Amino acid sequence: MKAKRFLSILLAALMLITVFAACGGKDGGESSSKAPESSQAGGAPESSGPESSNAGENTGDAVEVTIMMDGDNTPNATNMVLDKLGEMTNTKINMIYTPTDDAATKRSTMAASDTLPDIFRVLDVVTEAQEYADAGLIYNLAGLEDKAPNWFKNAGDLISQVPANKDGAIYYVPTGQLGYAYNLNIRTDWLKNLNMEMPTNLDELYDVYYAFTNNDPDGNGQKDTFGLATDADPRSFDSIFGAYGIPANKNNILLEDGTVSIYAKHPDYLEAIKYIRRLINDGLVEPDWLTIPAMDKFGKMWNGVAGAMEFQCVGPTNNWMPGRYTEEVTPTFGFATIEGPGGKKGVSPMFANITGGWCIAARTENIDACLRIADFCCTDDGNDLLYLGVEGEMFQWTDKENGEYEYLGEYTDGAKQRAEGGFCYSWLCPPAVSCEMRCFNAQTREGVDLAHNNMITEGVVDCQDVLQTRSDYGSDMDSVISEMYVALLQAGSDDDLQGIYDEYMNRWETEAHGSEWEEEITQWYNDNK
Amino acid sequence: MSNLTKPPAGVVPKPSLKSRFLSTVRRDWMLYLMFLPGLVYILVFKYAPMYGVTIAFKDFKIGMDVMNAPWVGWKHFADLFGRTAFLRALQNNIIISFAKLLFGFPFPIILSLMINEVRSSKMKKLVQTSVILPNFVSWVVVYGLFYAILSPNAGALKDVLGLFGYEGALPNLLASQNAARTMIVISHVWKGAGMGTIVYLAAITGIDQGLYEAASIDGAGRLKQMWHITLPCIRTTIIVLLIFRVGEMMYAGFDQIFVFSNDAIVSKIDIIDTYVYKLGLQERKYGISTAAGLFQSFTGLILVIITNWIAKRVDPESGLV
Amino acid sequence: MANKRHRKLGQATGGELAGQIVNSAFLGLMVLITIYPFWHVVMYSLSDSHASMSGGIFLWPREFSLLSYQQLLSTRQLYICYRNSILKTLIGTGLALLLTALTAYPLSLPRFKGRGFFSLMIFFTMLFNGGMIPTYLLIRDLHLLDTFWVYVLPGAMSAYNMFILRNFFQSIPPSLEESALLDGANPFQVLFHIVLPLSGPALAALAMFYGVALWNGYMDNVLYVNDSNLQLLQNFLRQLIAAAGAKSGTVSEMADVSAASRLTEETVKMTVITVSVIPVLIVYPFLQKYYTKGVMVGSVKG
Repeated sequence: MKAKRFLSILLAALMLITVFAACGGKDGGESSSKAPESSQAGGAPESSGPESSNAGENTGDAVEVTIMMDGDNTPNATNMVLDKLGEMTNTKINMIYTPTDDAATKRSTMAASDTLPDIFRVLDVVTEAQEYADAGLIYNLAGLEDKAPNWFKNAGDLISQVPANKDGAIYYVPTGQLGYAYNLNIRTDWLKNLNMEMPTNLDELYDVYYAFTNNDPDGNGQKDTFGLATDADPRSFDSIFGAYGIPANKNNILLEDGTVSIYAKHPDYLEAIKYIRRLINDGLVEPDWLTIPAMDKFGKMWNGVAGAMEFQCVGPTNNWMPGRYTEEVTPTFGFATIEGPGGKKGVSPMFANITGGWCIAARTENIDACLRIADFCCTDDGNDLLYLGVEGEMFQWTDKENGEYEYLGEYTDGAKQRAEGGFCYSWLCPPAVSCEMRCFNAQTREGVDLAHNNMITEGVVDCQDVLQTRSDYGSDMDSVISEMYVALLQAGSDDDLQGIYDEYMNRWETEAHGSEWEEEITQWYNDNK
Repeated sequence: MSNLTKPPAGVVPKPSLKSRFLSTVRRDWMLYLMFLPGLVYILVFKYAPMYGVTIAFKDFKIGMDVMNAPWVGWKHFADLFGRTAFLRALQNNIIISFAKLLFGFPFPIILSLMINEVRSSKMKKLVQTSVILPNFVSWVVVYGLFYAILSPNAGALKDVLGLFGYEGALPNLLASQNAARTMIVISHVWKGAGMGTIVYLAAITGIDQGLYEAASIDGAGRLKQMWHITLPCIRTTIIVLLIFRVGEMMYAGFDQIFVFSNDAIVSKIDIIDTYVYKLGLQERKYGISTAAGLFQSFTGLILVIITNWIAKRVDPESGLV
Repeated sequence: MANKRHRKLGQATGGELAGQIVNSAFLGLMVLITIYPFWHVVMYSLSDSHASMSGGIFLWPREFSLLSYQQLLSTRQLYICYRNSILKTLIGTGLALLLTALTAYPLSLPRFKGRGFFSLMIFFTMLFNGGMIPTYLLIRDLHLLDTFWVYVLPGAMSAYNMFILRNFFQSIPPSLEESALLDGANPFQVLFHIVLPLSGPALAALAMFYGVALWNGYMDNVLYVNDSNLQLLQNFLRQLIAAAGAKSGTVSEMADVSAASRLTEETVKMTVITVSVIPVLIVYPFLQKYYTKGVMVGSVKG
């Protein structure tokens, strides 16, 4: 009986709260969310007029600008960096910060309902930017170059390479940033322990991995180490593919017969696979490579389980250094370049990317303010603010020329620094040479240059136009190739490889429409070379 | 049992025809008023956006009004069913859904019956609380745990087997084509069982305890009581849930498959939702993904109609409508 | 009452005793394998970040540390998210229970004309929906974007739960209701004074379903709400989990992991999960009472 009474009370209370909230909640809701209501001109276009004048009253002439970014940090709703950015550009920043996984969904939904924020990033320059431009959702910035000189100068010639920017229109401004190419990061302290030299060719590399696995490189008396940590991405053997002249990052290559195709059609593809199979079958590769979550893979490096990893050297030698490493003496790294049988060497290329750029919505009411923000973020000072935080309060330069700085007070704690907005927005309209790059330590700077000078560019076809077959069947084609890669590595014996390869490539050509795509891209190449 | 759910026609004493009619009208007027908010809700939030299904038959692009987009007939469906990878996903979807239904559906029922047999109320609470816990841990974390346990190199299973003296190599169950679907079903049952028991336990407590007392006086044991009283009394609930579950056959658990998938086993566990997600992610195809959704819905509808019909044939009181 | 019956019948045959033992053993195993993951999460969150990086199994914290809790609890945004999520869950559950009960009750009555049609109509929405874009447009046109109400109104009733409640209502002896009607009560009075008080277990189960769905849901936040002051806990959590849980493919930004912190994302993630599940564990026992105890027996007899 008591239960019954309690339940009725609980229920009544819940319902009361509901009714209460429904009646009284209106003011509550509005007062707690005043800023967004006005910023959210998107939601209710007809009310944006008076609201923006409202905002004007509060902060002088500052107009509100809504920016949408994706990222996996959790900055406070209002924070020092955003306040500073507003101050520097005489705006009030309203930031929409979306989890990376949901960003594309959110953006396309907003686009479909014409509620795009003032400034937003589009990653897929080829089709998505084109679609938005066609739909009249993006501001044509042609003629406004003077209002954001840094931003446009930074993008330079790349602007005209964007398919959506045809006939002199400017819808999409690329960042001009080069992605980091991969390095083969090898632990030099282990090499020293084993009295070995940095490997330079495939045979020496095998020996190093063998010794890392079997000769107790960390001297702890246990067989608990491996040559290298990898995952199911072919790029985790980037320099091995490179030693056979193959760019493994899904780039298109020109074959001897003049057709353009994918890297898996390179004549030496199976040779590279055989070498990798030898590493795996001889137990030199950390055996969980297929199922390992990314953090655990990196963990193999941090914990001293693996002695090598093919990855952007920025991770091992800069960003993870020294806080991530758990051994008592922090490991040291060097970068190897590996020569293949024909004297070939290299890593998959990264081109000055037109993917990864920013747009301004056609429906913005403050184009000048948007351009001010883009322009400021694209300067060194702007990017320093977004990457490191507010100078003098969150960090200070110790040697600005050489990119040396220190965090101040409680902001030495990375979480505090990010909560106040440091780092979280650093990819907002960044300059081609970002604050991160300017602040590299010497070794990382050297590694990044090494990787870039070592990129395979010969025979690589960089196509940035919309190809219909790619846009229709791209994901089908890519999955066949990834599945083939794993099937080849897992095959019972080397004799089976050709059969497996033929079977998958046949599927790729017919079921996944690979042959059609080959024709189209070859045609494109002949038209554009 | 049957007289519990039957209309009260015979029970009501008979007032005059006229007053009965009047009172019915009055009563029903109130009932419709009561029903109104729910009806408005359904119409506004569920039916108003329903026009969106027409995207499956249209060439809809961003910036267009859905209503004004040009019709393209069955083009998107033809495209979808013309893709071998989609057919593979469809086949996987059916197999995985069926396995999940076969093992995942009865398990919460059995678990509820077992929980109901626990005498110590402390133990009962402990069991109930712990079985719902996995529900609060997202699939990403669940995968991390499965990896931490099953990893042939660094997993806990290896350590445990090591204690028993086994030093040989372990298969990587998370990358094995033979084990892939089993792992999916096991993790599904494990994660969902606790929440599944809640409805059944609620239904079981609704059973008239007098029935048990009568049965035990007749000398029926616990198993017999379970079989002849508990199960029949919650059968309408079971059937309604079964019908719901069958209606969801075309959805085989996107979040779960997404995190468990890798290139070695994707051929065994790629399902409609994950396949369409890959299409949409790379190619932003509203037409195709809506067509796939409509196909899932229609298949669900047909399956539900069949299940409901069978349920009604077997037991006229059960079924959804 | 139920316990008394159990005890009386408890002194039964040896076969039943064996049954009890098997039963307990099985359930004990269930407890172990279902409690462990959460245990793992809690223990991980209490461990030192570096010590736990080698992964594996956590029975106890490795180098006990409260650093991640200190850090998380000093994050302002967490409290904003907490407040929003709690309000959303409380108000949402109350509203949903009310609406569901109001809808389910008429549909449970055989004399309610059109119940077949209406049931079908509601069932239909379980299978078919208009998709993301039309729904977004609707929300926009209702001026619900960037308001708190977008968290509770669009999901105010689940057809699934409505049918469960309708089914439960149907199993209540109609005689109770009939006598009340004869006494001159109207359907609202019958629902609130007779039917609902008898439906404790079902309402508790539903409150659980609604509450959990509201607490765990984040897509409404992602799509309809831009304002960080209305951010939900799950959205906050999702951002942390995404950073730590990614599989290969999204690796490029992983190079950015902070060097300055003594904490790894993994530890922070485990801490946030713990912090997000604790409110549920506090509320759960209150609801649990109702579907483990028979309410019916008492009321029918008493």
